[in-house]
Amino acid sequence: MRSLRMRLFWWTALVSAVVLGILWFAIDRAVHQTLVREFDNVLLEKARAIASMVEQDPDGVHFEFETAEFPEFSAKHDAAYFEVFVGGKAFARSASLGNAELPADADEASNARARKEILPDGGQGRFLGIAFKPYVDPGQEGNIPNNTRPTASVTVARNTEELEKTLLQIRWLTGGLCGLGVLLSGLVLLVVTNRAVRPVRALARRIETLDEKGLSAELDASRLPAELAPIAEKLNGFLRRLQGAFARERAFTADVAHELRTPLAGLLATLEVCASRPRESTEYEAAIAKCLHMLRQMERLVERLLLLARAENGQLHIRTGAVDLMEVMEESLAAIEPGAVARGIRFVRGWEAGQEWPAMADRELLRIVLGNLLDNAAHYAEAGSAVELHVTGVGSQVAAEVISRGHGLTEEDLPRLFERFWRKDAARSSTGLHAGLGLSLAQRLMRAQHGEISVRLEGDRFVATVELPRAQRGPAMAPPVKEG
Amino acid sequence: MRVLVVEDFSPLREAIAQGLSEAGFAVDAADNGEDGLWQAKLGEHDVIVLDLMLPKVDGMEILQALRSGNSPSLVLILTARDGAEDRIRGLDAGADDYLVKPFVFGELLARVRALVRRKYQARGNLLRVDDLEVDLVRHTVKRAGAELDLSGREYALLEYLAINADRIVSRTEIIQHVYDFNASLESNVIDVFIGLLRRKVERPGLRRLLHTRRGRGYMLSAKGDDV
Repeated sequence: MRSLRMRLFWWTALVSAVVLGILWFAIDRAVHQTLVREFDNVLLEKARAIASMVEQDPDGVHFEFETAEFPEFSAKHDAAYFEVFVGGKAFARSASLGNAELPADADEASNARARKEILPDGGQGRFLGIAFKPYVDPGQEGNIPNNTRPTASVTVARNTEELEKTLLQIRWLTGGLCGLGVLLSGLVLLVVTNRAVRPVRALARRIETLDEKGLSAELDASRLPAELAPIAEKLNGFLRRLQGAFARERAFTADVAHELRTPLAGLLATLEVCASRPRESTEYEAAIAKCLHMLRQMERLVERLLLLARAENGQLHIRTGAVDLMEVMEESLAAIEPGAVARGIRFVRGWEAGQEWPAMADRELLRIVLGNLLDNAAHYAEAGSAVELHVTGVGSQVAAEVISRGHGLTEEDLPRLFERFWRKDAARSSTGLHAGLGLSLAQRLMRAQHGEISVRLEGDRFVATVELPRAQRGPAMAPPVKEG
Repeated sequence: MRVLVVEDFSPLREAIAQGLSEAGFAVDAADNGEDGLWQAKLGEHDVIVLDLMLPKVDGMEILQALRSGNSPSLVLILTARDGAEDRIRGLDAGADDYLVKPFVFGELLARVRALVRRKYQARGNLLRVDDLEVDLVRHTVKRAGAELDLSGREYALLEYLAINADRIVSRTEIIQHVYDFNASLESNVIDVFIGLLRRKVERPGLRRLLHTRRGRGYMLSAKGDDV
């Protein structure tokens, strides 16, 4: 795993090394130039001072040098040298020079330039030469003819070992400081990133302790850095959704348990009571019939639960083809109509024979959906009322409608109808056939075949609509739809 | 002993009612909360077997109504919900016992019997009045060690008298708590059964146990004479 911290560290170290290296170089150059310029200025001052000591009077050129004022030129010091030339010939020289010579080339005093050369003693040094006219006292000017004023020059040299040493010290000092800077910036970065990732680690530990029971524990976003707070907030939102999903799953499991346990209890109790003593064969027959009835209810419930689970997991095997909506409606009716007659429910068909409404659908799934709607109508509609059935086509859609009366539903109930195990009132039906799974199952099945199911209220009329894409080919031309 | 079964799933209700009545209980049944509450409020039942998810009136509401009305009936909750929270909620609301579906029928019977004993403060399943022994589980009665041959109705009547031993039991109480008399107060059907019972219970040379208190009722006791 690549550590963000180490990457940050190396990059910062690299960048700071480059930046500080450039800085080091610049400082070194600046210090070097400044010190050398200063050195040269001093050299120039000394040359001027020495030049001012060369005077001319009618007796000739004189040089009055005060050794006490310039101790560096004494033989002892051996660090600075000068030589004065008058008329191109050596005129005077410093004690330090001994018998050695300095070069005589000279510049104008205003733009004298120092140059690096080997000193007579063999050491490194800088030379500066300026040309001048020997000083003449204004009172003596008339006594000296112009043509007798010779051209003089002075060359000054000074050992630069001290300067070089200082420059080297400064170079190492600044270099060391820059290196330290690189190191420090890296360390500071490490510390800072360490502190910065601490909340991330705390967050990670916090998340680690979360399980399906602790989903209600929210992460405290207020104590996190601004960059991390959105993550915690998003995570909280995710946790809330997860918690909701878990709560729904728990409720669903509890509902499933209830729906299965009650008939199971009935089955067990019936069999145990029946077996508790010898009985007439008619009693056994009645008990067997009851048990079979309960088993069928359980089987149907289990089937629906499995179908629902498959639909929710997208594991349905859907084979759509052109299907005549009216034909499927008639097939579904055939199973339900006989039972509905007992409650006085009449199904009124709103279509004429010979019409065809081809829909793209999976015949099996559509039969389950329509069967469910018709069964609900037969079960919940007011006793003795009529249930209207319509099949229509609108644009590229075909639709089937089941309209019944007397459900006692309100607008608020409509969205809840599609919730699993929702019932208007436990009284509306007892355990078993109408467990409140039908519509949520129907919705899943319709979506699986690109259709839609909707419900609405028109006064006391409850309208359930199933819509499907219209098939291009007539059902007569459609290939047989396989079961499953 | 009289039991009310409130359960909306009819095959289960019918099986429980049949099993209980075959075990010698007088059983009433209700298939919804409204009817169940109405019957339970009469206070005639020793034990009420109550489902929680009921149409019209929820089982919990019935329980609360009974407890706030100081009903003498003990309540056994029957539910498909087995979460600890549901158990606690039920017991906190005043249920006397709790049974999760599906259950073994024998366990339901044992729990109902235990509640009956609790109601009449009997410790064991064997009631003794002098040398008369009533076995509440096996439904057998012995007098001085010899087993008596009793019909179901006779046993139920004797059991009720034994559980209320040394106390005068009125004819109204007997009609309310003992199985299947279907009799009005004016009819003499109870007197007939008391007569049948007396012939089997009382023996020459043994102490008289079954006494008649004229105008007030009957009493099973080792003490006292008929008035």
